[in-house]
Amino acid sequence: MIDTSLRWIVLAPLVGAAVNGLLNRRLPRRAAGLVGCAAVAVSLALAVRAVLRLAALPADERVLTDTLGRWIASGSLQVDAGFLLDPLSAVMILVVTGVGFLIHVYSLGYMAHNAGLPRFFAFLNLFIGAMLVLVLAENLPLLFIGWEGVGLCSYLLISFWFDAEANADAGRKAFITNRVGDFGALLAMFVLGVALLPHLGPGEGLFSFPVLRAHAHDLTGVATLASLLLFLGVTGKSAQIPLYIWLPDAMAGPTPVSALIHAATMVTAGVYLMARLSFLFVLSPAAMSVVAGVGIGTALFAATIAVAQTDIKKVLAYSTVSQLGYMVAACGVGAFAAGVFHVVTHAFFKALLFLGAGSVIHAMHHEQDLRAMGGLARRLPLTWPTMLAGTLAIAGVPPLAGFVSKDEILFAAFLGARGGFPWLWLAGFLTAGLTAFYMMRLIALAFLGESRASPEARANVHESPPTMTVPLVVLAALSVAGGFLGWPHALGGGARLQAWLAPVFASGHGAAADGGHGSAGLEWTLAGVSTLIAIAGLGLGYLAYVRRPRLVAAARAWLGGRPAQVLGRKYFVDELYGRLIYRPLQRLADVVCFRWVDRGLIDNLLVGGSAVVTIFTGSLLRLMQNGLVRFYAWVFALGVTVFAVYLTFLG
Amino acid sequence: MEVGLTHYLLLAAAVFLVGMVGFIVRRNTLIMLMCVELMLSAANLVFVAFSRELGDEAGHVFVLMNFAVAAAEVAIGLAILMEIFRRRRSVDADDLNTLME
Amino acid sequence: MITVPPVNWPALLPYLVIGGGGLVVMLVDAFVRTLRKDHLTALTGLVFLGAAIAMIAVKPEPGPQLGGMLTVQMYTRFFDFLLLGIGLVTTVYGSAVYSQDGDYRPEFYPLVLFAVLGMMVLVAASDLLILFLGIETMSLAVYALVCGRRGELRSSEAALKYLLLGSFASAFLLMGAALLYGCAGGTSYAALAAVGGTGEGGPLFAVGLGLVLVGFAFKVAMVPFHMWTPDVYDGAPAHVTGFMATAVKAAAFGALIRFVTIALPGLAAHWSGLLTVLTVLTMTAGNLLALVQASIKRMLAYSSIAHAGYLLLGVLAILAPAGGDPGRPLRESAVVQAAGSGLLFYLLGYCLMNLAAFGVISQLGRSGGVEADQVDHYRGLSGRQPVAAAVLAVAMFSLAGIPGTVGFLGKFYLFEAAIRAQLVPLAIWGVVNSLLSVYYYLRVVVVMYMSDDQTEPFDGRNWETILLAGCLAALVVLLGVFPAAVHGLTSLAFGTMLG
Repeated sequence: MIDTSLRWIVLAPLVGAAVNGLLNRRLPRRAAGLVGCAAVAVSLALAVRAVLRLAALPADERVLTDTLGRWIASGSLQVDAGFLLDPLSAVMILVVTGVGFLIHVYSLGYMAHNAGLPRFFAFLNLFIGAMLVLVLAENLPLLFIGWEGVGLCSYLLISFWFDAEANADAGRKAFITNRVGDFGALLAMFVLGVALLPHLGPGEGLFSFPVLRAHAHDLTGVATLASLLLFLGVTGKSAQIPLYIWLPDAMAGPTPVSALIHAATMVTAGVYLMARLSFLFVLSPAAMSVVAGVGIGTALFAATIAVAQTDIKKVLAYSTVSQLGYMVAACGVGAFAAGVFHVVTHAFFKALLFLGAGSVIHAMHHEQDLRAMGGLARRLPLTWPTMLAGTLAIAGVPPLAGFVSKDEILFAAFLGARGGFPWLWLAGFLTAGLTAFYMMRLIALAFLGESRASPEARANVHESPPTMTVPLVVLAALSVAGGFLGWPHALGGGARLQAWLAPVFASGHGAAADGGHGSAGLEWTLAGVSTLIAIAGLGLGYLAYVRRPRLVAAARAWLGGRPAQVLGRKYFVDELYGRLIYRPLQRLADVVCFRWVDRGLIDNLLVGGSAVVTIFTGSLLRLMQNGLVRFYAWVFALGVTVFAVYLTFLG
Repeated sequence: MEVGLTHYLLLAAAVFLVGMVGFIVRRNTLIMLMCVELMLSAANLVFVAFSRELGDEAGHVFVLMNFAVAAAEVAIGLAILMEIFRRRRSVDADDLNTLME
Repeated sequence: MITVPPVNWPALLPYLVIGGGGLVVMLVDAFVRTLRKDHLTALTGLVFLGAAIAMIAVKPEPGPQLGGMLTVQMYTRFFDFLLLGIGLVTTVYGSAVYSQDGDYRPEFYPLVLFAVLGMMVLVAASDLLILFLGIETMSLAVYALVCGRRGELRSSEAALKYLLLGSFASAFLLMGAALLYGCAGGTSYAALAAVGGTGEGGPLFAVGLGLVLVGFAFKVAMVPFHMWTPDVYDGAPAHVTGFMATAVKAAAFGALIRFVTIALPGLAAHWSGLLTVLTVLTMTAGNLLALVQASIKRMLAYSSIAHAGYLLLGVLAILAPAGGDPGRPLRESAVVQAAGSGLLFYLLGYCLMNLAAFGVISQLGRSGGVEADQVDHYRGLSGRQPVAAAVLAVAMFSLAGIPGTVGFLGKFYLFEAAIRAQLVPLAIWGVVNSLLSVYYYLRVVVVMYMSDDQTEPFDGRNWETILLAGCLAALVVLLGVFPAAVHGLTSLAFGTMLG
């Protein structure tokens, strides 16, 4: 069905961005915030309306389209500028606009005293707009525009306070790391295009998702290559090994931006891309195995790093990397619906945690070090319970949102390994325990115990304004109740989200997607075990950081400080990349590219040389333009003679 | 001697070349305009000659049209020339040198 | 006994409206003394709109008219709309300039109308006679337009130079037509194609074709027949220069494309060598000379020569496949289709961006009709006139072929067609040339945005021109991002010409 309101969902935030961006300083601060929020609110309202229309259709006809016109027409390459709303993009736009709207409202309070407020809201709006282009795009090239758009916006926002060198560096790091992934995505697009071109029927747009899906059988030959290249793009956007390094640094931006990047936009793009092209990924068991392995590996790896971080936002950043690992692993075992489900619940509790952390930072006057906090529970009566709700949700305590979606993924991972030992499940299981532990550590260090802040800082601690706390409360409610969207059948639920998404996904290999084959008994058992490890992790954390703080010191003394250092420095990956990739490349760039090629060959010889040559020839030719008609006529006649001679004798 | 097509064409070629060379070598713009007229006349001659040879009237029509066009061209040319002469007191083509590199 | 061929009035209506309108405007100016100065502008605008409405409202059966003298089809209608648009924009630019300078030039309006009439006829011509009449109608009107500033020596000098060389070129064209007539036994394109196709035309036929092409080459400013261009573009008032750079070039190319596809295809092999050399020379000389210009009008003149070179690349791409396989009709070749629609798209884009640029140039000046014709006059324009600077910047980006503008896509389509026609070295040379051109186009942008203000700044003189130029610049960007609809249209239009 055609629904021309789709374009307005995308355009509303872009218009907001244009208004804020063009008027900029001429706009009063209050108006800038209102325009920014209103633009997303309009988008949210339209999104809800469109999704309701979509839901009213029969399950197998749930597709709304809106074609703006032919965008690229070049030979057999026909690409429309068009949007497509199906159950998958419906989920995504609700998350993007819904959580995005709450973050906008929160920013009103958080950024109230900042200069450059219009610029900030313009970028936020642009971010939402780009993400909406990404999830609503009807074809790969348009998706790629959104893909690059969120990359650009993350760069702009991470380095929003660009006068500090570190922030600018973090922005560049995000951008460049993402470019590596984008390169993969772009190559994948070429591979798909080349493979599909000979099979294209008349009137079919190359790269259009429905067309790609209909032609999936023609893509078997390139499925592994294309999937792996796409996955390289996914590791960039969704922060997986080896390209996850930008995400922890991305916290250099204002906290609402971190929330936006970590929860509603950007990092979910990779998972979305895999879900969108699920029919391609399932064609290649090899690629799926790589995806699953990298995903679960990232989950465990990042969780161990999170344990040792002392910056409140860094803990959350690594927890995002870890949770994204879960989502990617879910796609890898074919449980795409579970992956998307986790995208949704994670958006709720991670936005909550980041905004809560922002509230803490706000209260502490931009202190981010956990070691300088403590005892905040009494001073922040709203932030504290909401943060606690988020923590329990991410730790996987039933029946909160995180429990349900994580359990779905672990269940699929367990089934996916039927016949062998469920390594994937075990890694995921351990990660769950670690998650509970480090989140408890964060809560304990920040909110419980005695305050370790300086006396004057302690005196100034205050709860945040309502613009900031109201979104926290809403997100807390969603984090608590969000799991009921997809409560699995085996545990007595309706699995509504899975059923809603079912028409979009191809069935996976190994585990049939989403709990078809496993017995209810197995699922109960696994759920029980996960609950136990979550509680164990929380308990251990409580014990170590609240009840017996000496335990930590004792453990550290026993281990000799090495492991803590390794974890604290994040396994030295940044240093490793520095040694192995960055520095050699830099030296290469400096000596070969810059000194020899750029300065020597290009600047001096080519640019300098060609400039001299061209300007010299130009000046010579100029001499002929002497203004004398008779000379012009003489050249003219000469030309005619050449013409005549050539045609008579040579032609 | 029978005067045939070849003779007409040779004559036309000669007139055309005289016009062309004249245009290049003469400095007086009036004469240059006249040289163009010579070239046009040569073309007319070719038209008429072929028209006679082919027994087809289209060539005549072309020639008649051409008279009108040539007259209009000269009219505009003289008007512009007057304008310049009034300011410069010269019709020398080589004096048209305000516009150059 | 002369039989008068049946006249299909609806098909000829637009030509009659423009021609009749020109006469009416002239008579109104001569006899209605109470006229206010801006009434002629409105009247001329109405004539243009009337002709456009006539084309939209009356849809004649496409095909040859007046016994095959001219052909009305979607191809010609595409150019008709383009030329009407250019005429209208030029009228607005011109009357704005004249009212600013207090220099009332009533002859400007009918001259623009007659020039447009000549151009429309020229594009529709399918007979050498009409071709000649179209070119001459256009040229005579443009000679007079160039002389658009009374008492200004530069303007008159440019006009005389253009007239002398133009009539010199016409003489060659006419001689060529005469020779072709003799060899083919008729003046219609069909007769030429019949003789040309067999390859039995003989040397006289070849020379005739060569001389006709010299006439075209002069109008499109192909090297070595280009030397008038900088002087004339420089001397003419800026709005007239804009008109020449766009309308004259579009019409000449429109007619040239028709001429080579209809009358030349069988002879492509004779031509391609010579035309290749001249294409390369045209691109290169245009760009090299543009590099060393201090005057923005001269720079744009050389740039128009360079662009003619890119367009000739498209013409070569049309001829190339036919040369390889003479038996095959052109319309069956996908390469010819691609090249043809690319050419039309390029011409459209080229006209849009040049008109935008010349709009900004024409409205900048000092009292007494002094134009801001040096690049240096644009120093710091972004601060004084942000909109005008932005429009000129968009035009320059597009002329340089920066992605996101119509100029980029036009070149993309042309070079793509050239590569498909296996003219790879030429396409590469085209790309190198357009790289070269970035330097001088962006210099204008740099001067506008990154240089300090000058001591005696030129003022913008009216907002109508800026508004109109702004709309054109918006179109430049719009078509640069969403080309598909228009490209489909050009493809269709070119297809109708092939039949």
